Amino acid sequence: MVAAAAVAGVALAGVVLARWEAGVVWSVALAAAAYAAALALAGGPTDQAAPLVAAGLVIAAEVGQWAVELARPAAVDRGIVPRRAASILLLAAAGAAAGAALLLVSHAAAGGIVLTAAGLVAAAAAMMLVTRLARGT
Amino acid sequence: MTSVPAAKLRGYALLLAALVWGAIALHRPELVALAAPFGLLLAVGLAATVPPSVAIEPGEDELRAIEGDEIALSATLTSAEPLGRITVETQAPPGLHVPVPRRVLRLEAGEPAEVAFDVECRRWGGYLAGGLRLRAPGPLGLIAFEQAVPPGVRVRVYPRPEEVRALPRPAATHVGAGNYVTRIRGEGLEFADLRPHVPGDRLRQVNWRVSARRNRLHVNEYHPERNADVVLFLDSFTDTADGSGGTIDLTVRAAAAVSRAYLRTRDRVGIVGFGGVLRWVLPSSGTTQTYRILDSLIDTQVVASYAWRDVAVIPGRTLPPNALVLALSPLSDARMRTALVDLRARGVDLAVIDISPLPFVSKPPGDLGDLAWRVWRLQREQLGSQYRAMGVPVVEWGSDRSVDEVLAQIREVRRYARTVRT
Repeated sequence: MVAAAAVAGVALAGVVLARWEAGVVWSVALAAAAYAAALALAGGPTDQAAPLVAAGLVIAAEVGQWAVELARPAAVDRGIVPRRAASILLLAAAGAAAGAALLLVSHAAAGGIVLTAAGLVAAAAAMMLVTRLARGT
Repeated sequence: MTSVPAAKLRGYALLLAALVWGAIALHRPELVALAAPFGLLLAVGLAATVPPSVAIEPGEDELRAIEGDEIALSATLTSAEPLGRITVETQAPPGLHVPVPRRVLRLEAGEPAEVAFDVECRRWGGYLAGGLRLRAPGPLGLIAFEQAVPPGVRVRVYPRPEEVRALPRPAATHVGAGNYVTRIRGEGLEFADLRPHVPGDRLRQVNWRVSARRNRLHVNEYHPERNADVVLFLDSFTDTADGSGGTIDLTVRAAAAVSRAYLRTRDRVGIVGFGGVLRWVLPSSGTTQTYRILDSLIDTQVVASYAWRDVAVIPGRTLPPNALVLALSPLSDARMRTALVDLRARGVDLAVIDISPLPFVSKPPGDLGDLAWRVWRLQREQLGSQYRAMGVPVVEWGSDRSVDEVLAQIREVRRYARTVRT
């Protein structure tokens, strides 16, 4: 897992240096895939640190995008950098909180076919919502 | 403004889907926790995105500068709603350089904000600059709104002024007051001769010392100072250029320096651009004429044409009688060479600055290339000799010397030529 995370880190540094904006998400996806693989292989109880990993991934993705933007010379007005940094941290914290809440819910609920089906429907609904919002703008 | 999805929108959506489906497939709720921040980002970012409306008011619509100067291109942006981040980018045409072409700023609702870009003027010419590209990302940068403003600022960059001290002196002068001491006698500062007093002579012209010695009133005579007409005859049929410069570039720089210098000495200066397109500025004097000529010069460019042209197409008023015609040409085009011969045949006081194309051409490889190169050089030398035989001073100018040196050489050649004639 550590090796996979290191590979993902190197990939992220590479795409930032190459100013490849779309590549940032792919390197974060690589790190997420490594984490998922590690969980699947290790088995065992729920990893309570998952919300922190999620916060780390979202910070890596957003900071990576920011670094790609900064690679081109630009005069940035005062106040923009701290505001953006604060919004990324806030987003990560809110995301981690949401993730922790979801983990709590998963502990409370009993598994079964009905819950799995509900999860599938919820996932599909979430994707439809995202698509609809994206089209709306 | 048109909306453009950011690269991360698709990436985050795919990541979200993959993590959720992975969580269901692997029965690992941690993956849902991993997807939660991305889902939250997508939901909030897309829901909060509102298309902005930004009004752009350009700054000056015309700017003038001299090569090497730095100018500022500005625009005022006003947004109807607050924008946390908007990127304004400008692109400069070749010849202008913007060291920092992007600016990221915040816009408060209804408050105008000025955006200015420093622009270095690297080469003379007329440019259309000031094009802007605005990019305002939504609250979490998932959707960007873009707007392009076409370039609308006319920037005129004049060649850097070069110091010219020794100008070729025209053979004939004009009637207006100027800096050339003429051969005729009249009112002036330079002493010419003495003559006996005649009724009508002013008292202050009386040379009392001579009058006392000769026992008769004598008056001083002077050479008056006059101005002259100078016409710059520019060859715009061909341009031999490489990355560092070219013959048209040298022609324009030399013409700018020479016209400035002659206009400073109160001469009347005109321009004839002889090429695929015939352009001219009638001879005149003064500061306005300086800018008229410079404006005309920076529009000089080669317009390819195979049509035959001779001096008959040049309007008569552009070549006043007794004007010194200073031709600037690489002598590459037969039409220009013939026109110079025609001008000389018509008795025009002509001098030629041969703008050498040699520094901008690389010698062809091989023995044949070497031979061709030497033949070409010999032809150019022979051409210069032919003009000199006609009484036209020809001085070759590469980029290794200053205009001042070339003009000093022409001045010397013309001075000796006059001595020989007398």
